[in-house]
This record gives sequence, C-alpha cells and structure tokens, in this order.
Amino acid sequence: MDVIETHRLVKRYDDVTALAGIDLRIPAGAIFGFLGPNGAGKTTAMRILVGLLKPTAGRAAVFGRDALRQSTEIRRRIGYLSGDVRFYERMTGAKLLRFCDAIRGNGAAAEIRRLQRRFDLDLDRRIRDYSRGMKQKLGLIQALMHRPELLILDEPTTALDPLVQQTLYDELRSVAAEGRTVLFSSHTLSEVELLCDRVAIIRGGRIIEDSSISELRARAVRRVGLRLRNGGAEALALPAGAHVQASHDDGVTISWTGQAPALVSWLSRLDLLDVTVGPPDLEDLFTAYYRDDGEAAGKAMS
Amino acid sequence: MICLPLVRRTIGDYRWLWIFSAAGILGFLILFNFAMDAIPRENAEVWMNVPWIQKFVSTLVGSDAVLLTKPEGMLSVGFSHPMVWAMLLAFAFTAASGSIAAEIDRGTMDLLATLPVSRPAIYASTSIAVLLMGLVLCWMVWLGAVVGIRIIGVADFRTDWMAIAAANLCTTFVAIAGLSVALSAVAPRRGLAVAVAFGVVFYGFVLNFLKTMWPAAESIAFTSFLHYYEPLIVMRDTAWPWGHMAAMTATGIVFWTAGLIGFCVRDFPAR
Repeated sequence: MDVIETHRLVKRYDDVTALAGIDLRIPAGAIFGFLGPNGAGKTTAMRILVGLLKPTAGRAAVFGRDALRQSTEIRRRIGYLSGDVRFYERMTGAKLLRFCDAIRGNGAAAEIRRLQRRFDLDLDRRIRDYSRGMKQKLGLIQALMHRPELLILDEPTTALDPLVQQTLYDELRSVAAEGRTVLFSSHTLSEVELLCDRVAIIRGGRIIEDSSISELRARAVRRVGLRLRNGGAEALALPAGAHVQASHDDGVTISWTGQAPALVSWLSRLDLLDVTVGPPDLEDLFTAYYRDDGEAAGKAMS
Repeated sequence: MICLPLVRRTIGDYRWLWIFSAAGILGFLILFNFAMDAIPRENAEVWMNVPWIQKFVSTLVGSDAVLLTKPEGMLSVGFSHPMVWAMLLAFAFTAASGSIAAEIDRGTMDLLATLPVSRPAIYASTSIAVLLMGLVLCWMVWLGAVVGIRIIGVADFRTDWMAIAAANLCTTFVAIAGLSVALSAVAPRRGLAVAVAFGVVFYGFVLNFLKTMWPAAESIAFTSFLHYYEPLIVMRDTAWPWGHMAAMTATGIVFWTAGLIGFCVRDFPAR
C-alpha cells in the first residue's frame, strides 16, 4: 500500500506556480528522499501533505485519506519537522514536549526519555537559550516521540553536527526497519545516497526524476581509466555511452554511462595493461538535474 | 472541540498581562470611588452646568451629564473611564489579536497546526481562553466599584445596579474580542490585525464624541460599539439593556464565526 499518493498536485500563489502537477507514490516502509534546489517546491508539497496548505488543484492522500479534509486524522499518525523550526521560546524543552504529548493524548514519556538520551539534549533549559542545533534536536524529538507511522522531515539535518546526523540516520533506519515510512527533503546528496531506497527530484514545481537509488546508480556516470598496450587512444572505437575525458601518453580516461556488462564486454576486447573503474558518480547526475538543463539531462541519461 | 492543553497554554501565555490588568482595574476603581467621594456635590453641580464640560462628560458616559450629580451617575463614570478602557482594550488587542496571529508571526503555527488538533479546535480553544480572561476583567470593574463603595460607605446604593452595567460591559467586550480574534485569524501579520481592530475601536470613540457636537453623526451612531454601552443610563434606569446586549453578543458571534471560517480555509505558507 502507498502511504503517500499525490495526483496532479498543483499549488499556485497568485502568479507563482509552486507545484505544477506532481504525481508521487511512496510505499509503506520506505525511506524516501526529496531532492531539489531552493524554491523547487519540496516544502510546498510537504506542507500540503500535513495540512498546512490547500492544493490549488489535484489530490493528495496520506494513508489513503484526503490530506485536506481528513487532515486531523492523518496528523495523529504522522510526525512532522518543519524546515524552519520555531517553538514557544519561554517554555523549557521538557514543557514543550509535555504540551505536544498532552495534545496527542499522552503516553510518550518513555520514548521522550529515550530520545533525549539518544540526542543528548538538555530539556530543562528554556528554548530561548537553545542553540540552532539544539532546537533542531528538539524538533526531531517532537516529531519522533509518538512513534508515528509516517515521518515527514523538511531538511532534518540542518544545523546538526556530524555525530548527531549519524544518530538521526540510525533512528530513521530503525523507523523504516519497523515498517514505518520516512519522507525527508535534503540538499545533501551523500545522506540521500546513504539512507534512501528511493528518491524524487523536483525542479520548478515538477518531478523530473523518481527512481530507486540503485536505478540511479546504474544510470550514473563512472570514470574508467585505461592503460593501453599500444599507448594511443586514437584507435579506440568507443561504444555508445562512453566519452573521452582526458588522453595520456599511455592511455585514456573515459566517462561511462550504461550497464556494467556492456562495459566489461567492451573492455575485454581491448589490449589493456591496466584498468580502473570508479564508483557510480551520483553527484554529476544530480548536479545536471539541478542545473537549468536538468530536464534534458534526465532524458539523456534515461 | 475544545483542546484543554491549548486553553491552559493560552492562559499561561497571557497570565501576567491579565493579572496586571485585573489588579490595575480593581485598584483604579477603588481609588476612583475615593476621588469621586472627595468632590463636594455642590462643586459637581457647578461643573455640570458648564456647557463644554457637560458635552465632554456626556461623550464619556453616553448620557446626559447632569445625571452625574447623583451618586449612581458619579460612580458610573468609572465604568467608562479611559483608564478602564485602556486596560481592557490593551488586554483585548494583545491577547485576542495575538492568540492566532502571534502563532503565525513567531512561526509556532507550523508546530500547532500539525499536531492532531483540528483548526476549529485551535481557534475555539485559544479564543475561549481569551474570552474567559477578558470577562473576568469586566467583572473586576464591578468588583472595584463595589469594594470602593463599601469602603467609602455610600448610603442606600444598590450594587446590583452596577452588575447590570458590568454585564453590558461584558457583551461589549465579547464584540471587541470577537472582532480582534477574527482579524487575528485571517490577517497575514499580527501588527495588521491589531491595527485594524484599533482602528475600528478608535472610530467608535471618535463617533461617540462627534455625535454630541455634530447632530448629523447621531444618524450613524449605531455603527459605534459605544452606542450599545451606556452605563449611566443602565444604572439610572436599573433596567437590563437587552437590545444592546443582544446586539453586542450577536456582533461578537458573527465576527467570531467569520474568523473561524477564515482560519479553517487559510494557508500557512513557509516563512
């Protein structure tokens, strides 16, 4: 079953089209990454899912329920972290969490204690005395404390140090291992690669890519270094998907986009002294999507 | 429909403003009664015969100033005194306008509106907390007057007459709070909500003043909330102003409902 499903979701603000008809399906138990440049529409889509915004057209459903009309029911089952976390500054962290827990019907005290230890956060201080990173940790505890079936996190690692980021990654993995679902947006490719089963790239309010990480890896560019016995690269007959990046006296570096068996088959026909094959470079792929020619890049690589 | 944690939090947010306002109103009314008692009756009668003082005081109490020479008239001034209005309106604008708009301004609406509490419940819980606190402030006016009278010992004065004026003040507060909460729920910023609410109330005061100077203003006096709050007449006649109270309550309910609808359909875009 798909936990999140959107159909031709459109959101306009006066003359600005924030979402231009996105279709998204996120299955239960997935860790789904939402990538895109600033202003691409990631936050708008997430805010529609949690009921903060009304779609101009189209439909958004969470747990099979309408995100607009049945928002309160949906919010019982989700944890949300806003991209710009703000709290009641005069409260202590503990009081804020008790307030959220009271609205949710209580019962999260033990989980709050566990998460407090996990994220190493002093909950007895007033929130106004918290640093940006501490507020982010508090936001994460608030989103996780009731063990929601769906976590929607808008750039959750912002302001977190690497150790806390690692803690968060572990938490998200255990959430997914329990069959719960995570949707998070990010600008950091490495964390998306590290965590996600699937990723959607959004640009200009449109989904321009929606694939599993393994599919993307298969389509990503690999750097292949060749040392040839006869030295020259001029005589090389490059197969489709291969492009010369640099020539040396005794060899050549090529970029390869395509399936590994085809590469191995081509290499086996060459008179090689040595060969090095780099890992799939998603960075290039994503950078191409982020650039203005992203859509063209997507088509070219698919 | 009502979310008790939210009611408690709203009361907690404005408790200090409320405590200071309540103490201020109570203290002021007690002192005011002392001050009125210290004025010799003969002097009051002389002042009330001066035309411009008559007009000025009439605008304040919403009735013929000559009545002020009677004990209930003098005491009724406390119910319309600018100091009392200042404290009541400061609370109404700060708490009622802040109940929703402040959440949006400081960015905490993202948290509140994504917890499992419906928008009608958010709106109802915050506005009911503000309304309850405001109504207690209205009764502080009555309590201050009663305590003052007891202390100075005005003979044969029935304090239940003042309760009618206090009830009238409550309905007027319902209308002002309803307007403020509604503006708070639909305005993009708190400052705008407060400014519009202040403008509407200020218009009421100006119109009330103008109608004593300029007869043409009388024809539109019904558009001012002060038209429906006349403590001196209430205390003079000792009759319940049911029509005025119903008009103010209905106005408050209409504004409150409009705010509820506006709040339920509005967007909360990212900041």
